[in-house]
This record gives sequence, C-alpha cells and structure tokens, in this order.
Amino acid sequence: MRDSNLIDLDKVVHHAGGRSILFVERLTLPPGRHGLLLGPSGSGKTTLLHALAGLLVPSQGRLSLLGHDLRAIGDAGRDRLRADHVGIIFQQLHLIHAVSVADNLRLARRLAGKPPDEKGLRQLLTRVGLGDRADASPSDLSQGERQRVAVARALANQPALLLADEPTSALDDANCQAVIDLLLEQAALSGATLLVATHDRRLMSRLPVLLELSKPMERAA
Amino acid sequence: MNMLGLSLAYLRRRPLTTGLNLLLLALGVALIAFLLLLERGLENRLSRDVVGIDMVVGAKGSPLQLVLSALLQVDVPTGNVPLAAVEELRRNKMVRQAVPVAMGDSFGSYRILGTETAYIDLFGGWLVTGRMFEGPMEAVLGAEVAASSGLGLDSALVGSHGLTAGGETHADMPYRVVGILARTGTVLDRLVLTPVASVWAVHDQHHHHHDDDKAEEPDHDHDHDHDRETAGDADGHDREVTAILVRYATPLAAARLPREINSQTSMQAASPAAEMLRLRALMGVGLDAMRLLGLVLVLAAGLSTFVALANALQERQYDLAVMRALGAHRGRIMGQILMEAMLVALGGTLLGIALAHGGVAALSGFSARARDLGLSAGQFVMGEAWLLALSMLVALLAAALPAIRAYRADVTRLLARG
Repeated sequence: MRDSNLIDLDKVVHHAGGRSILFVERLTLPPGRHGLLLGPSGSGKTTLLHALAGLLVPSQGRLSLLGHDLRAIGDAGRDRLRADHVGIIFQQLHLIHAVSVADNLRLARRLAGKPPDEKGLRQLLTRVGLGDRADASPSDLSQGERQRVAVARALANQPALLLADEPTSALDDANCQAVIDLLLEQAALSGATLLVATHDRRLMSRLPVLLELSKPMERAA
Repeated sequence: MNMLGLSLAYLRRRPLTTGLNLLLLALGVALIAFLLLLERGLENRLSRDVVGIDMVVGAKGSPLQLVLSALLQVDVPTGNVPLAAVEELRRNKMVRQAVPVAMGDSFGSYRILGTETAYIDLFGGWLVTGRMFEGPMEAVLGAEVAASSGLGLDSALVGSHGLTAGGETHADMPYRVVGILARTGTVLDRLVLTPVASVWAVHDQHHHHHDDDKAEEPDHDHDHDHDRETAGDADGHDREVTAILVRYATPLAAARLPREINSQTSMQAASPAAEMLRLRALMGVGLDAMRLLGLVLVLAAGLSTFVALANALQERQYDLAVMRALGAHRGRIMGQILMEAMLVALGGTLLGIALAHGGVAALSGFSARARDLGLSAGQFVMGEAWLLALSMLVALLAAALPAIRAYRADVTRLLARG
C-alpha cells in the first residue's frame, strides 16, 4: 500500500526511562515540501528524527516512510530503507576523523551497500565548495568546512529525505543564513526533501513550520 | 574506502597501541615458531641419521656419547675397538651388516671418516660426480663439504689432527678427492669419507714422524682428541676402529646381541633408537618451558588487544553509531571490530614467523652447529599454520566482548547525546 506522502505519522508516542518523551498526533509530508520541526530542547525533536530514519521504533503509533511501515519491516528493513532513502546531518556532525573527507563520502556509499561513484563524489564535493579538500582530514578543516562535509556525506546516496538536527543553533546570524542556504540549495540539487529539527526560531523566516513540539511536561500541565 | 581500509585507518590512528600489540604477538609467535623450527631440525637430524642402524658397538663409556659420536658425528668417541671385532660380528648369524667407522682427523669443521662404501649406502647417499673411494688417501666429499670448500675432483685435501678445527695439519699426507655425493640431508653431507686404511696410514705416518724425537708413542698426547683417535701398528695385528654400525638380520638379535656384547666383551653396544629417545626426553623439558613462555606472550598480546579495543570503543562509539546511521547493519559494525583484531593477529603472526625465520637464517649464518642441524630459513613447518590459527583464535576472543558491545550499542542515545 503505497501512498503519495514521503512521511506519514499517526498518533506516535515514545517512552524512555518511564517517561513519555515524544507525542505526535499526526504528521504528513509530501515529497518536495521542505519544513521545520520546531520545539524547545527536550521536546523530542531528535527522537522524532531518529524514528523517521528508522534508528528507533517508537513505543506506539504508526509511522511510514515512502509507504513502508517502519514498524513492520523489521531491523534489517529499516537499515535498508535508511541506507537507500535517508540522509542525516547530525548536530555534532560526527565525521569519521580516522579517514579523509573523500573517504567519509565513500564510506557512506559503501556502508549503504552501494557501488563506488568517484565522479559523483567529486561533483558533490565541488558543489559544496570542497573540491580541493577531498584528501584533507576532517580534523584539519574549519567548522564551516566540516558542516559542508556533513551535508555532502548525507547526500552521497541521493536520499529522498534529508534530515538535519539543529544545524544552526550554535551559529551567529550570518552563518545561520549561510547554512540554511547551503541546505536548501543542496537539497534542491539532489532532489531531496529537507526536514530540519530545531529550536532556532530564526529559521522560521526561511522554512514553513510543519510541526511544533512542546515538552511533554508542559503539555500535561 | 572498503572495510579493510577503514580498519587499517583506525589501527594507524593508534600507532603506539597497535605497535605494542603487534610486537607482543610477534615476539610470542617468533619464540614458538623458532622452537618449532629448531625442534624440526633436531628431529630430522636425529631420525634421518639414526634410521636403519640397529646397534652401535664401541668402547665402553656413555652409550649416548657413543651414539652421538659414531652416528651423528657430534660428540667425541668413547675410545676404540679392535678391527677383529668387525669380522667377528660379520660371522654372527644375527648380524646382517656391520660397517666400521674410524675417525680422528678433520677438515675444517667437518670430520674425516674412515669407513667402507657400505656406509654411504646406509644413509642412502649417491654420487653426483666421480667415483667411490677404492684405495687409501682417496676421499669422497659430502655435498656440504664440497659446496663450502669449493673442492672438486682431483683436488688435494689436507686433514688436520683431532676432531676439532685448528689441529696440526697432515700436509705431507693429502687426500685426493675422487667423488662428490649428492645432498641427502643426512650426516653424509657434512663428512669427508675415505677408506679406514687412510686413517691408519695418516696416523702411522704421523706417529713415525713423532717417533723421531720421542720413542714412547702410546703415551704421547699433544691433542685432547688424540687418545681417542684410531691407531694401530703398521703390521696390522692390532688395528682398531672407533665404532661399528650394525644392522640386525633378525628381530631376535635385539634381545640377545647387545647383552652378549656388553657382558662378554670389553666393548659396549648401544641402541640408537633408545638413546635418541632419552635425548629427546632430556631436551623436552627445556623446550616445553620455552614454548610456555611463547604462549604467555601470545596471551598477553591477546589481553593487550582486548584492552586496546575496549578503550578504542569508548572513543569510537560515535563513529560506529554514525556508521549505523549511514545504513550499516549491526553485523557490519561487529565485523569492523573483529576485522581490526584479526588484522593485528595476522600482522603479528606474520611478523613473528618472519622473525623466527630471520633468526634461523642468522643462527645458521654464524653457527656451524646450527648448520649441522640442517636448519634452513626457507623451510616452513606445519606448526606455523597452527600458530596462525592460535593467534586468530586469541584475537577473536579478545575482540568478542568489544564487538558484542558495539553490536548492542544504543545508537539513538549516542547520536542524541552527541
């Protein structure tokens, strides 16, 4: 049963440590419609992103990605789906410092079980302005350059869904705009739908808010 | 970027730890492999040189010494026995073959052995060039003697007195090389073979020479080995040989012949097989202790690898979580950890085996005794394959716990915490 929505969530609840940390009544996202998941720290934004990426299965509720029920397809199915269709940019970037910039991208393809694509890799690095830093170690890059590597790596497998976790919260206004420009531009070039989880209200001027999360405690009160 | 490359990259990131683990493992493996090679050389030497000889008859003394000197050509002889004993043994129905050996001189570090051509057949030797010796002062060279001395057919070979190198030379009584033997991997390779009569001739001459200034010949003792050398009067009445190698005609002989000789004559009979067994038992304790030390080193390397992986896991858990986020399944993460341990095991084992063979090469380079064992750096033993398996097993055990922890890691918690 395939529907036209990229994402479809229905009454999703997640508990951890005996507390409810995420509640989403309903969320649908058609392909190509970028948006924000807005909420303060502790409102479950990251948990929601991980659930969408198939890294965790929420305690209750139904969620599907590209028409696949993420609960039903099992561990291996979620790994497969994530490898094929989801790119993630972490708040802490999490580049692999043991290997070069280019190898970080190669690894992304390799781990997803995809054949190497040197031409695509060069194009991607050039696109994010790192064409001449392919062989550098991530440790030798500036914070801005590392962010670009993280974006390029998330796009290495041409995902349908690009997830970004707090990409701008630690940045000043100028850099904040630069990063969101980069994300929008690269998502468009790769044909991916961008979903940004953040508490950074500056982004509201650039992307529509799809869902506003609140802390479960406040909700209860 | 494949998994192997990634593992290597991580190992390179921790050069000191990786180096320590490699070294520990390599040393343990090298020690064990070296012992294996040494043992193999010894075993080969013992079993090949002893094969087919049922009994050695020589002067009374240590039976082990008799076997070592007469068969393996490593110890000094126990004394001499009369030549008549050879004929007596040959008349015995229980004896199929009796071959005399007479020694007393050497050529460099090699012994000159007076015997019959039957001796060469005993060890399965054959000529690559020339002919067998027929008359006195004709010599057939073992393969190694020929190779290291560079002597060819018709060359003159001057022996020196005594069984150790550097004795007085018999320059006036040179041997003539008439044949060269093929390499057999036995004691033949390291001998200069000549008729027993040559040994007598050299020493008759030698003694006459000394008679000029000293009349009392039998007490004359200018060389430690001298009193053990084969001697006898020129008239041939009390000619002596150093020992007699005997093959039985019937298994019954083993029960009777040695006892007869030991009780009824002034000679002793020794069984090479029994003496070699004793020798091995003596060496066994030492070898076992060394092997244990090697094993302890290998286990220490395993423990060290375990600690290294467990520590590395702490700092790498984010990397592993990211690999999961990039689409890798749990098995792959676990494989990554195992692969690193295996790489260290493989590298350490190969390094250790290389060290052991290098050690053998170095040893046989400067020690004639090691060459004597037929040690060769290019030869491998089955035990080395087992060593590799052992290292792999130790590495697998060392990596198991870290790998399982990586397999079970809570990826979302790690990634969320950042």
